[in-house]
Amino acid sequence: MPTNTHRLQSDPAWGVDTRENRPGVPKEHAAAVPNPSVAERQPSPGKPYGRVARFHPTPVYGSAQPLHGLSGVIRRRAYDIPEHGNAHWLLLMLGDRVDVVESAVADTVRRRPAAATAGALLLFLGWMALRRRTSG
Amino acid sequence: MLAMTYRAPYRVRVEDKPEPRIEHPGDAVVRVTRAAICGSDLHLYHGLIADTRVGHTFGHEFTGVVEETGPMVQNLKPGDRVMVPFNISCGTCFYCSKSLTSLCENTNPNHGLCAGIYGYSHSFGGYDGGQAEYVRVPFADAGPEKIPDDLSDDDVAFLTDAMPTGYQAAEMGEIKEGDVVGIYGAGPIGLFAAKSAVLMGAGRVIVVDHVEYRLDFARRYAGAETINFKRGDPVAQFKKLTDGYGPDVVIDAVGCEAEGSFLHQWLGVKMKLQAGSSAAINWSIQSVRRGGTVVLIGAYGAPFNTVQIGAAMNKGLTLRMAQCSVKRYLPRLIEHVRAGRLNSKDIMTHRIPLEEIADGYHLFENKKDGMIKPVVIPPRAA
Repeated sequence: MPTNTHRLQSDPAWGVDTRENRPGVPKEHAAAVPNPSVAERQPSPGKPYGRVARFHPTPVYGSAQPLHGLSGVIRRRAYDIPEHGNAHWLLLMLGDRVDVVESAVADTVRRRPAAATAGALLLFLGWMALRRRTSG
Repeated sequence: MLAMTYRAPYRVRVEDKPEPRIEHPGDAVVRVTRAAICGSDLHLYHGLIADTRVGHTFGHEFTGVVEETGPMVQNLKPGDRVMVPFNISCGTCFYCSKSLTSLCENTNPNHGLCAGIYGYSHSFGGYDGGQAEYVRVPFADAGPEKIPDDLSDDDVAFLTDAMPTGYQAAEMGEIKEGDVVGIYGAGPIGLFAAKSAVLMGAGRVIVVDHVEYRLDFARRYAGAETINFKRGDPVAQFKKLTDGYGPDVVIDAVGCEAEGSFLHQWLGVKMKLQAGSSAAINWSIQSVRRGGTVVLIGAYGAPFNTVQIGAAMNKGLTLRMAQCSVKRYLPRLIEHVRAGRLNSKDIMTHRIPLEEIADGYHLFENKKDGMIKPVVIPPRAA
């Protein structure tokens, strides 16, 4: 197989990292750092929903964007399923899509209450019209 | 504080959010001075990562100044300049004690896949990230590294992810002097992997992409040869360049949004029937010579992908893959930065105010304006 070592050797940094001075060789080596804070637990806002948390509570966790609404119900159900099950991930993806819709509605109500009210009224009137038509 | 927030796939905006606070005695709060947009942030941006919640702040690649510390933090004090590895690690668990900080078991309560990651959805712990003015940093004694006084924030901006990830990719290839190294992807990771392969004594480095300005950059930056896969099957082009053998090592620095395969784009990226596209993985398996090594460093997620594992098995390949355990690479990479062999500024093409981050995502995603790697500057960075 043709190589052209000469071409890259013109780079003065070529070959400076031999196997001996590569930080990840070997793949595992002892590197523990003392950290007494690992023994402390971050106060939990409620029952941890992650399956990892149920069996091996972690000292820290992300508290951003707690579960809410229908998306929260779906996500909580997803976390009842082990992560090696496909349904776990597919439910989480479904929860994401529902979250986008819920948040868009909440955002519209908060930022444009007049438009949100008009939209809700239009939907109600449309539903009434459909009901009248289908009931003859 | 101002922070980038996710609203929906392809929609992010800057909002006013409460500042983070100390929630655990080992925490610190860091004022962000530099935050990068990473190629893997685009997977979040596109809605491909499960449990990405509306309101989440992305950003796992940042530097900053310590503003506040918890009562059990001993190694940092307010005013210290730090670079924060994207892995959140405790330093003491089974994995951290083996220097595998990307696998820490004490920071991700939601999944057992790997450690928590800043700003990378609740699948990876649910921590808001650094594309904001302030960020909460758990286990501040274990993860953050003080920035040496002789280096600027710009010098080290990408030492928290892109540079060590590219370096680890080359290292996992177990490159020997004279090896031919193929790299799919001329983005930041691929470029740093190419340069790292040169540091490790590669005989040739061949980079594959379809964006001409990025291929041109690879030629100039790493002395690489290049293949544009829009001009022909990259596997065939690799064989032609290597007397029919294929490279000794092939690195997939693309990940789950690889272009080039109509089937995988539709099944994975558009319809999400698999976890994104596996085009780059399969090209890597087919390109490498028999008995060679394939390295997966591009990001992939759950649940599954269709991979030509039969080809890999019959060709006797070695497959290596991981999220980068950043902490272990920092001392050596700082030496390289000091010696001028590697530098974040090499690929830092755009500086974007935090207020304009939505535009930054748009440019980065569409590979416009010659963008290689943007860095975001919050208003209180100075």
